[in-house]
Amino acid sequence: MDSFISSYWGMYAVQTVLHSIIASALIDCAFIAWDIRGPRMTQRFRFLVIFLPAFSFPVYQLIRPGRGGVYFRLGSLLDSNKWFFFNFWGVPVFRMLLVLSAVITALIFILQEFLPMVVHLMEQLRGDGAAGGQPVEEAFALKIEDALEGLPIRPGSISVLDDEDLALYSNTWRDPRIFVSRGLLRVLDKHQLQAALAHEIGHIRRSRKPVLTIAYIVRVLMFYNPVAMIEFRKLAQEEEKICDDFAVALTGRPQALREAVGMLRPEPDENPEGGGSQGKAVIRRGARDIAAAFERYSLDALLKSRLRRIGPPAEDETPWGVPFVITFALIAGINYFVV
Amino acid sequence: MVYMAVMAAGVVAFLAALNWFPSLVRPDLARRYATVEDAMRAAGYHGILVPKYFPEGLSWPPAFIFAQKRPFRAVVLEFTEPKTMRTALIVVQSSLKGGAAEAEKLQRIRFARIREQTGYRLKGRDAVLQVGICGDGRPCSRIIWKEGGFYSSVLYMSYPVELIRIADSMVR
Repeated sequence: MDSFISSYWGMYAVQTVLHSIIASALIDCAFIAWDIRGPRMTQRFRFLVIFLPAFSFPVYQLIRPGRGGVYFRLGSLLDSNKWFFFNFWGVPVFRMLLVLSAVITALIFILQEFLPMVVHLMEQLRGDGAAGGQPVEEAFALKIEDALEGLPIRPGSISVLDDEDLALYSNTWRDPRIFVSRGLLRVLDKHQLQAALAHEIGHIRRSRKPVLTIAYIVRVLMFYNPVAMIEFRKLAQEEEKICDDFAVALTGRPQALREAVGMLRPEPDENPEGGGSQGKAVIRRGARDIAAAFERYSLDALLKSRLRRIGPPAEDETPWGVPFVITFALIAGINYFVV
Repeated sequence: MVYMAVMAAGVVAFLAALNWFPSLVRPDLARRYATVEDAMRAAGYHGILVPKYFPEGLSWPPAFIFAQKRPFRAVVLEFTEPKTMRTALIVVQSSLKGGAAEAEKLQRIRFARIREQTGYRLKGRDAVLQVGICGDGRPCSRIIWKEGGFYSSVLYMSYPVELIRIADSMVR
């Protein structure tokens, strides 16, 4: 372990995590200092947390090959080795924490992101993902046709899922397609459906921007980095808000979008045990129930934050160049002295 | 802009405090020392070999003294030329636990090219003598040997004649 931490790749792993933490803190400072709120703006800054730590280490080492050595560390702003070789009662607590956080992050990445993505990709390759080959009732077909009026997408790009749950998503890969469930078609009116479809068109349009794909690839390469994971999830949430803005700009109906998003909010949690104190019920639940409840809570929190901001089209193009350059320089400058 | 400067200063101050705390609690971590005695105490190694012979222009005490106990024991003494203030002699002693590569990292100046490497008997000890060009373009030579569970390495920024005299003065 000692020799790994001192090796090139060991230093890379440690410094990408440390540099991500510092970059994340500094962009949050930038958000406060310059009152940056719009999702387009915050997303631009968040890219710094994903990209800079991944590429800065090799650049720093090129500039100064002895950067990982003792003499640089003596004059550094923060020398991580001091903490990694700092033992409490003979136990290397910080090294253990580093390994533990990397393992947990990697497991979350594999189970929550990588495996579902592989399964989804395989389904698409097999053609299973498009359940839309089935005949659609005329009423639904008419509703879709009405909703698509004025939207920049072909009617053939909409597939109806034979599912009574409320589901709406798009496949932005190869043959872009929007999937909408029968359940959702049943509850949404024409304008709500139009706004929801416009949101998905936003995803399809934005998926053509390579920066998002590159950010995802970098995030995959940093599968062990908990900060990259959190920041990428925030980035994905901002993507939803950007697509909300796109839908409002396209349809001019924020209220309809708000209603459509509101319908996707998960049902309040039911107490499966019935009666009894809440504390007892929580104890009886298995880990799966807790994970599902947590996921439901996260989804609801995201939808609520989207609902709060959906409104008339607003300008999100406040000047960002100077704050961005200053934040970039601060992150690059401070991280150079963190080893 | 002012808010950002204040908050960035706060981040820097927090990092500096994080860097300072372990040294406060564990004085044996890597750091610079004022005297060789302090360095020996910190490294927990009292058998440091020091040169008794110095070529013209170099003298005791070292200009830079560094020691650490973790991740491996090491003491580094650097001597500079008074006129140019450039490092002229580096003595490194480190426990074998760190390995030869790690021990070499403790040298502020490293070989850019080794022109010649040969075995040498240093008062009955097997040593390796290297001659070449160092990273700053100056000719340099180095002698390395093991003694009492420690690597000893002496790097001198010149040809090996004086280096051997220095190393000779360090061992009995």
